[in-house]
Amino acid sequence: MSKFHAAFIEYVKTGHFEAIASHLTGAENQGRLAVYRNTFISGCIDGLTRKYPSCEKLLGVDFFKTLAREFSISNPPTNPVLSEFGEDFPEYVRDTLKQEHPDLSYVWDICQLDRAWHHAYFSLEKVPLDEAGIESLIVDIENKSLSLHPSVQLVNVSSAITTLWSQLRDSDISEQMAIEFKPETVLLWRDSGKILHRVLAASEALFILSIYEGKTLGESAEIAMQSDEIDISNTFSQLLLNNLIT
Amino acid sequence: MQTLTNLPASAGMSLKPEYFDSVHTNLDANLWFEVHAENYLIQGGPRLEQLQEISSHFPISIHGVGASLGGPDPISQEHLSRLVSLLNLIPAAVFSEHIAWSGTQSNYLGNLMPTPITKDSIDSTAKNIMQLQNALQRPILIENPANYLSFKSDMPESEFMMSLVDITGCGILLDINNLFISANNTGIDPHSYIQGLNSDAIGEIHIAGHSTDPNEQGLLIDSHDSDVSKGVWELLEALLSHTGPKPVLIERDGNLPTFEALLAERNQAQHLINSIKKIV
Repeated sequence: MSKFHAAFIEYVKTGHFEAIASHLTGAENQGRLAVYRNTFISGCIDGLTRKYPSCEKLLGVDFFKTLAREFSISNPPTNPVLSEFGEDFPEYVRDTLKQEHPDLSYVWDICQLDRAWHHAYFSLEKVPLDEAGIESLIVDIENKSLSLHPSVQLVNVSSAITTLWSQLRDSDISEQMAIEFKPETVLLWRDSGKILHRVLAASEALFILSIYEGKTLGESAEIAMQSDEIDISNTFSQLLLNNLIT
Repeated sequence: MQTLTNLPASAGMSLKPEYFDSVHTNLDANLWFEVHAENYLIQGGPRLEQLQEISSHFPISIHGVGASLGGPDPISQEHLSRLVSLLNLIPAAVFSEHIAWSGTQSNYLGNLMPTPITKDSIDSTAKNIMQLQNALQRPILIENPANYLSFKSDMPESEFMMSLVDITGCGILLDINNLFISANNTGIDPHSYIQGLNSDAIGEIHIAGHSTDPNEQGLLIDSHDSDVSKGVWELLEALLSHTGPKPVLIERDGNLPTFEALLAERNQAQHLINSIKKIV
């Protein structure tokens, strides 16, 4: 690496301009170097804001920016695709808030749902089972293993925040909402370009997770029924109707 | 020499996902659009589908911001293969990239940082351009940077650009807003810069709005978040008088106006192209 490149990286990452100063035509230029450092950080913050919009609304612009800025400096992007930046941001938020704001533990859940929305939105497209494919399932259905649509996301959250999250995605919230610290499993998927979601019963979640893991429908049903009552036929029909079986 | 661009010598505009629903097939037949490659290096979903649909009706220019041509490392193989996949999906009329760099393979800094304008840098940058051109199987256009300060250099930037053109067979995307900003911030003469370029090598022109740095009144920032300034329009007219009609893009990335408002600004560029008389 050339001395210029090494010195420039050191400046942008740390703000120390001693090494890059020897490459400038005049000392008066030093202050202008800040443009590059500021652009780097503001680009990262913009990327995180687009990926975690509900988190930003919940925390407020200033608090979110502070967290996003600190995260970006300690966890800079690893490739040029900005939409892939910040995969670990929810965990960073969780760990950071744990110290000073333990009452905000549900913010991690909100971030996880934003991340899942993002994955569902940009996932691969795959044609769902057509009528002939569905008919072919009937014979020996219990021993069939199926694939879920690539957009399917299953998220376990530690608090019942899915309604709050959904409101934050669609609009601002103006009234206080009570947060119940009761775990939920949320299914997200893409249908006709829109991201849909549903809170699952524990048995439904186990059934869908088992299909995702490659277990046969019979095995998946058995695992689900050990957890709780479940109408397997209805749950499976819902998956077909929502084009989630491919 | 391979054709540098398949764009028409007309005006185009940045295409953001926010505008997708406004793009109808009854728009000006000479209209074309430009997108940032890195926004479409995704697996699938509506954004990619809508771009594919639009590309079946209008020419698309794909503009890269992450290849790091002026960086210390070869271009990442993963990035190259993702660009190749994108160009297999979207029939791009042209592919362009910046003469800039964004970090190293282990430190990606999400920024367009200045390439050293030195003899050594010509070699390494030319190798990266060749690597990209070989992967994409086409010549690319390279864009002049917006400069905020002066670095020690071995030659004028226009000479550096033309050396890269001569070595690699690439063309130039001349960003007039960047040139205007560089002239303001570093004192170069933009008209001498233009005279230093071979007109035939210019395959596309960018114009955009800029802003003033909040900490230093005299410093212009390449922000793409406002209308094109009067000075940039004047410089565009001077350039087109020198080169004749070329594809001209209204570039907009922030503070997005309505589609109709950006289209009106694009139409202003089209009128200028239509009225231009080349000074021989």
